[in-house]
Amino acid sequence: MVSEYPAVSETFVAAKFRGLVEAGWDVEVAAGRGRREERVRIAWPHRPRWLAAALLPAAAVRCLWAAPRTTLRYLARGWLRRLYLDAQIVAARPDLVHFEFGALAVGRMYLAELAPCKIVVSFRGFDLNHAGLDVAGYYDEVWEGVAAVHCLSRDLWEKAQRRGCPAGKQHALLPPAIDTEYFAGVTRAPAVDRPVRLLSVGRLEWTKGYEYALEAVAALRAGGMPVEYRIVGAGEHLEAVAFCRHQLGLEDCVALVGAAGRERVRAELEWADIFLHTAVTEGFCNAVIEAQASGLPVVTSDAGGLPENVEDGVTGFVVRRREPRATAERLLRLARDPALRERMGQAGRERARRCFSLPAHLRAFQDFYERAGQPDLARPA
Amino acid sequence: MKLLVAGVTWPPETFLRQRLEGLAKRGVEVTAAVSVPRTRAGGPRLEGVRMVRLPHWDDPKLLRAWRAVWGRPAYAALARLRPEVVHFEWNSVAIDYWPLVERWRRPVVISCRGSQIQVRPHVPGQEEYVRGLARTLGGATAVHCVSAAIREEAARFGLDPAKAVVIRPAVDAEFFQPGGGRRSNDTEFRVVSTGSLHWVKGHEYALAAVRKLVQDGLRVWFEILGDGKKAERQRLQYAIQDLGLGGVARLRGALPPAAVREALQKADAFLLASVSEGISNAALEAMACGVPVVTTACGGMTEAVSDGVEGLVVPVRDSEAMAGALARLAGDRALRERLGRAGRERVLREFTLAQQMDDFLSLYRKLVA
Repeated sequence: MVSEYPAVSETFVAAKFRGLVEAGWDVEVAAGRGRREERVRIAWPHRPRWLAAALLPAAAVRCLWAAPRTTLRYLARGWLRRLYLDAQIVAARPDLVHFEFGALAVGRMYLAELAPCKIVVSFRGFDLNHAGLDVAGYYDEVWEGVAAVHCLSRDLWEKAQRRGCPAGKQHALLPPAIDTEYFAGVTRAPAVDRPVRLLSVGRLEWTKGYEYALEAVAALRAGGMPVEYRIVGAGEHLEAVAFCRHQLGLEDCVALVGAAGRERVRAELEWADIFLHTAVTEGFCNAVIEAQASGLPVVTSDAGGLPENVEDGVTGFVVRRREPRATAERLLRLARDPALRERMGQAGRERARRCFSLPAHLRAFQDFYERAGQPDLARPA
Repeated sequence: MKLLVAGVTWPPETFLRQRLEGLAKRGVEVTAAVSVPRTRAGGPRLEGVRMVRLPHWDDPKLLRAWRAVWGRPAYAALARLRPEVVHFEWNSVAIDYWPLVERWRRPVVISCRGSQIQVRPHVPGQEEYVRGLARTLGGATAVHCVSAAIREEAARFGLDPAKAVVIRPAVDAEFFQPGGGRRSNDTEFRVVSTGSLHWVKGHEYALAAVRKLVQDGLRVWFEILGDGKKAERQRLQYAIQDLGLGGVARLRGALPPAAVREALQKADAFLLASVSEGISNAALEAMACGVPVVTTACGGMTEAVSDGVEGLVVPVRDSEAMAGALARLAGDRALRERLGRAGRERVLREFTLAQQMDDFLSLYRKLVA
């Protein structure tokens, strides 16, 4: 590929070209301008514009004639496909496009120039924690093209910088928010003469580390503490979780409840005494916020933004991830001490209302959008 | 003798290919019924084995309706083969084809080999499958179990132990041989794990064990040979990064047998961290290469490895015990050599292809007689 052939200043191109042809290689030169000769293909005229437009069908026919399959694939996978996938965005003529997950923005940054619009991207966990780890510079084009970045936690913002985001990039750290009022009304009867009740809510995926939760429960039981444990959620890790439950002999005290709607989750929060979350990787975790809002003490791992979510020693306990024994030890302390559970639950309610309520969240986001949408001074709008 | 082997996955797994070709070489007329649609997708040819394609019973309804018409000739063709013995390599396939079997009235062998007995029955929502297990294991003429442990498990799902035959897996010990010279280059302790990237293999526990070794100051190099679904690959990539093992552990993907052998020949130890196994062929291959094995005590593994003889046996889901066993091997070259030698000897004694072939032949002959 050259811009002009033969170009006076680049005789080495022509020399190499002829040498390769003589050595028996099948070489063709594609040039923007120049002299048409054997093995040299000159591009169709770009200017004047009307001529290019007029020749477009002819170019398409020529390609279809010479390489029908490649042409069709080019059209199907190339811009035609892009236009199709982007149709809603192009038609909406937005000022601001917000990709709610980082991985969605990869390969879409051309929108900023073509739509044209400002792009902001949210990073919520899996996108920075484990998406594209085997691809070097996976997010480079995103850092390049994005107007502002939103991260759910400080942990994620640090990870973004480790994965190449410039520290000076405009960004906002906004934790998720929930309808705290909906969960505030939860009341529960004191645990008298019954096993302590543990609850986890979250999809059945490897990220949630349910195996470690089950090991902790098995350790509790081995220590003589009667427990009941419910896991609310469905997903492709069901087989692994169910087998782990069987292997640890917990089928009689662990229930896999399956997927549940909002009402059911609220009812389960009402049922439980302690919320357990043993994720190995996490963004921030709404379920843990909901548990705090409903007044449950939380035992959680330290994955991702969880230490920012739960206040260690106040609204629950934060333990190292993949450490079932340490988890069991904290569970035991809570199981034995109803007053501590009550105190931590109350602190959780207050924390949820103070830090994770919807109205404040909405105000912060409006602010974020307004700042991100301001016209660039460097580039004429 | 005419043998119909139903439910051969494509491309066939190595152990299946070796067995089918071996039986064909010994004069059995083997027909492999391949139930996976993409038979023309390439893969090895099975020498001396006739191939038939069978429709899959698990297909969407519309396809199934179409195949009820189209498929009839295929069933008729199978019936015309007049096999003397039908062998189902997987429980799920036996359940799928059971209606056909009841019409044929031939002696039927079903293989019980791992997850389909140990894991799947314990998953909520598999009640129909469990009923199918009882029906097929009860109705089969003989049941092949890859280990005594599997036989015990299958007995809980309707297998009469009297008709169970334990034939353990085998490896090609000609191909898998110790490499020449010393293994350890004295700078780092090389640990290898082979196995698909799947949760049953417990790779995350293995990585946690390696991290403990690193924390204890051991210079270790760990590689996992095998591939799997994207989610599981991501899980392990994340675990490697999260545990700070970027320069220590590596996922090498699926490798051809020669490359697996090379990796094993260079290894100081083999780690099998599985939470469930029938009997791991990967561990047997490592033993054939003279590598000392650290294995969890899952499934039938203790029928191949005795603690302190061919390797070290640790509890499942116990990274600390794994790390302890590996550290013990790392610090004791004489022990490594002794275990490695004993491992190869045991494979040559109990897990040879020839022996396995004899066992299958005599099983089939008994059924036909």
